[in-house]
Amino acid sequence: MTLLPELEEDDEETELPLDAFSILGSDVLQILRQDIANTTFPSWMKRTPRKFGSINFGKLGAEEWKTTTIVSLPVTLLRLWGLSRTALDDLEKSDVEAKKDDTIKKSKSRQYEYLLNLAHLSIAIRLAQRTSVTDASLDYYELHMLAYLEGFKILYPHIRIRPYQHFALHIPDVARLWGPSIVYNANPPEFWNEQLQRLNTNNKFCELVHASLEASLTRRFWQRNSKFPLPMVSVPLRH
Amino acid sequence: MLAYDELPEELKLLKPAISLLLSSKYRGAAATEIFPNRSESTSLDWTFESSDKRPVIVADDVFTSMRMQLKVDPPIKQVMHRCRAIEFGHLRLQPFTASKNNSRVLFRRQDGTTHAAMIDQIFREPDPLPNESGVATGGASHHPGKDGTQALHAPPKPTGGRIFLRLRPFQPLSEQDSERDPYGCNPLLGRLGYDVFRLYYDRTLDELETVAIEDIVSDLCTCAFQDDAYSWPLLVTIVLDRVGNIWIRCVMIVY
Repeated sequence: MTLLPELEEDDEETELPLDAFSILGSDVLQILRQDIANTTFPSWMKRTPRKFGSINFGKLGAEEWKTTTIVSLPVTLLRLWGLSRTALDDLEKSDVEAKKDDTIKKSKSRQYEYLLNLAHLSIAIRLAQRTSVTDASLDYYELHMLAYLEGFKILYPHIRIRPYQHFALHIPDVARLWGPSIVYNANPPEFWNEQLQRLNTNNKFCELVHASLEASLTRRFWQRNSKFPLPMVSVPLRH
Repeated sequence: MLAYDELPEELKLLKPAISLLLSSKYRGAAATEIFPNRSESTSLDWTFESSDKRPVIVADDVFTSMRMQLKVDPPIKQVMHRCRAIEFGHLRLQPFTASKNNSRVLFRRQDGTTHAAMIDQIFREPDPLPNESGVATGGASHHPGKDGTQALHAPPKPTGGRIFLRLRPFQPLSEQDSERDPYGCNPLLGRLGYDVFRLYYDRTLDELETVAIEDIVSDLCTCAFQDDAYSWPLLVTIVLDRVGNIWIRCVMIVY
């Protein structure tokens, strides 16, 4: 793992490209993929992609990111970067020469800070995705999201806070007005966007619109008549 | 977890944030007090699938073990449906022989502690016949009293529809291996915090346990791995906490 370089004062506004440094590294990524392959996910849950982190895989959806942050990343990083009761003692007792010892300690504690930062985010996501909310759960969400963002500014000083990270702090305000986010989040329309993107249109746009409309009407029929959840089937296309 | 004066070292930096947001409102609150309106599911909330058209007679040894472990009123009977799946909203539970992914659960023991386990079998009592339940015939039954008058007695409790699960608990770590456990020691995700991540050995105890569906706390993700520092292959369990929070309360199973 490469530690972040220290910036000079006149470079405070400079943002390094994301590929200028790595946090996980190829070794950790390999172990992460092994753990993903060995993980059992309930059928209702969208599993983390087995090729997570691969350039060829493409982008992850919101549900896949959620599963990765709640399940897969903590499983691997807690084991690799977490400190058990004896781990710190072992570190102090190691017989490496003094200079290397300091470097190892520094990188180990930095990794632990990254891990705690991820833990705050993981808990915040768990609290935000609950189907019922209370004042206490929203307060704890604010606490952990604030801790995550404060830690983010310290651990990743070269990356600016993005608007969506600021919006995340306003989720409790919205939840206090409208209830849990599951009622009004963008997952259902995003699901249909994904279905449409997977269609082989072959430049037959009018038929695509017709087929989508037909599928949508069919879906409404099922919802009204059989209390059916959103069907996870692909949209049939007329030829 | 958040007893204000006893914050672990890693969280002490957050004291200003904690005082700003919480003041003394949730001082000392445990994670379970954050969600006071948690709803428990009952047998009536679950729908089930069974490959047997009629209920079966449970084996004597299994029935004896179930009867000893279950303190329910009225007591269970030996004739029950064997279920290959039960559903409650999006949550689907199955024996491990039917589905590995849907068979991992966190359950509550008699002493109040929770433990991870694998579902071995799911049983459901048959629905009550009309003449067996006072509810179906309109309520109370009449019996002649000592002085010849008709006395009202409370109807017998309906026995049908209760769901029971036979579980194989995972083996907890030994004292020596617990010292090396990085999951339990984490102040946020381990047992000192929200207790979301737990480490067990990747094998089950010999004795099965029987619980009612109301004692199922959550479904789990699990991840198996090997580490030479431990005496046996290991299993990480991740609590998902979906039983008390379901998406849709009424869902028809589509076969």
